[in-house]
Amino acid sequence: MRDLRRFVWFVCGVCFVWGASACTGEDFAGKGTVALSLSGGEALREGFPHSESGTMRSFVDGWKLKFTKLLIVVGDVALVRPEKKDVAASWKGPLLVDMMAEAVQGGGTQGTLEFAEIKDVPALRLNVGFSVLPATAGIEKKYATEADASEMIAKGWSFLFEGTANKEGAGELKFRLGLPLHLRYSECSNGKDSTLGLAVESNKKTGALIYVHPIHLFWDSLGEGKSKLRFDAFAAVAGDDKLVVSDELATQDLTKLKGLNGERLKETDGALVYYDDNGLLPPDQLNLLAFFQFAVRDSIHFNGLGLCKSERIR
Amino acid sequence: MRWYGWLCLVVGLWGCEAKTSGVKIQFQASAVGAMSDGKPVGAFENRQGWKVTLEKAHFLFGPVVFYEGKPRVAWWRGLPRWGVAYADPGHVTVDNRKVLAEVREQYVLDLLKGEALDLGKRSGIEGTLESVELQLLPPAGGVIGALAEMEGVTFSAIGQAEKAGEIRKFHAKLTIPEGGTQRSVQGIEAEVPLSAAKVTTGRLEVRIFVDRLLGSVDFGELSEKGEGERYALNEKDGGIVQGIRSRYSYGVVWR
Repeated sequence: MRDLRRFVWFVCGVCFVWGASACTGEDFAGKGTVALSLSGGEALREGFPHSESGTMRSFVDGWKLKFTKLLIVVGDVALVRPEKKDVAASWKGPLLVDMMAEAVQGGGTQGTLEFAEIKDVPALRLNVGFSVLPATAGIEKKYATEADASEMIAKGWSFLFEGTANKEGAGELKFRLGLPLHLRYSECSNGKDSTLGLAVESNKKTGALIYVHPIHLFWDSLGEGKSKLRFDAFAAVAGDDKLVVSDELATQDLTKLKGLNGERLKETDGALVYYDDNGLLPPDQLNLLAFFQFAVRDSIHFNGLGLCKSERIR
Repeated sequence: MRWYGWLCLVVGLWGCEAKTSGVKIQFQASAVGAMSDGKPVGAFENRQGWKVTLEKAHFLFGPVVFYEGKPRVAWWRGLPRWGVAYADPGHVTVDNRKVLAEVREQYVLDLLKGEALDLGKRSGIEGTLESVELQLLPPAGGVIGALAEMEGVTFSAIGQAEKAGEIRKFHAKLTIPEGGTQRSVQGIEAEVPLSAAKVTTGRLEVRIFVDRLLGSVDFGELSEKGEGERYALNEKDGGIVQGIRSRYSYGVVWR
């Protein structure tokens, strides 16, 4: 009987120690700093064609494209405890930044801009969320010109893609595509290690990178499968000013895509070209602008190619 | 029994507590060919301005998965194909959505019949149906319905289209090409509370909008001719593929 009592006390002791350690994890874990950064990678820096992870990314219709500006507004970064769903740390922002500014692309960071730090973050694995939101008056600006910032604020844009494209026989044209999207990204997977969220290290700086992946902008599919990079459909809606703006994309009907000559857009073998909307676009929005808005929404990743849940708020 | 004996018993029973995944329900399900504007099926004008009249139209669909929760767009791309759950509803979540019920079989639906095809009594759990996934596969073993009408494909229809005096007779016959999520219509929107009290009367009805399946087709661009000198409408035409893959070509209601 005495042995049995000793055994029971032993079991109780083990349970107490185990339970106590489980209840005090966060307090003992310490705190760290999370460094927030933005990047557009090779696609933004080099345009198209460019080489990404050993694969050449080029337009199937012969266009070459360079970005001159990529303005984006980021804010509402939230690091959330997965179980309790409460915000452990946050950075409000918002910040309007031109990712193609010389200070970003010409520096020693290979196009990556560290734009904020969040200190005293519990050293835990946390879910990551952030927003891309319309520019508003008084917004903090980094490397954006006054003219660009004013236009983005006036039009409520959250993105502005600007650049040049050229193709033999078609000449050169410019594009300036602003979008008034308000997008919320949450529960991001981590592209570095394919886990969910970010493991914040104690007494160290942990990186959290919002990655704009411009290859999505020109893929002809919103679904999985064999997407091709195309620009003919964009070029075809440029007016006499040789400038493509976002409103003009709405005139390109996805069910009857037109090419540069105003005729139906065709592959080199004569087959008609179709964009695959993956069943996402409403019947009254089967146009290139609606498609482009989805593509831009898909282009935002976390820590490399990590994927987030995304929600369009506006 | 000593106190620690009781303690062990309580702890043991606590550990063995049954965990239910929700209140089980059974409900009647059906599918029907319909028009997106509620008009009678068979004749309509599509977005390309063609007045379409159908003589025959059959659609092969299934499995179908009913979810609580809505899919997130960016979450889909690049993830491994989830496929159909093939598990007891209530025990499975896909993309953070709870599977409420499933139809695992493939059915042939006469889109012009005007009356609902009975999909039988389905088992599931209580919840709010918020999204539906419809699989569009070629015929496999065990298809329920008039398989011969399908001609070995997912969508088959005979009819004519008329625009500005030009009449084009056509024969649609296609299966969605394989690749990625091509053969799955995800995120069909729904808002149907499924409670034990509610499902005792009525049925869950999947609606396939015939006008939207053919809504983007420009019949003037068809060039190949097949049987009976009818223009062939097949998977090479992006308009019909877009229509079949569009989540807006389908609806789910309780009636």
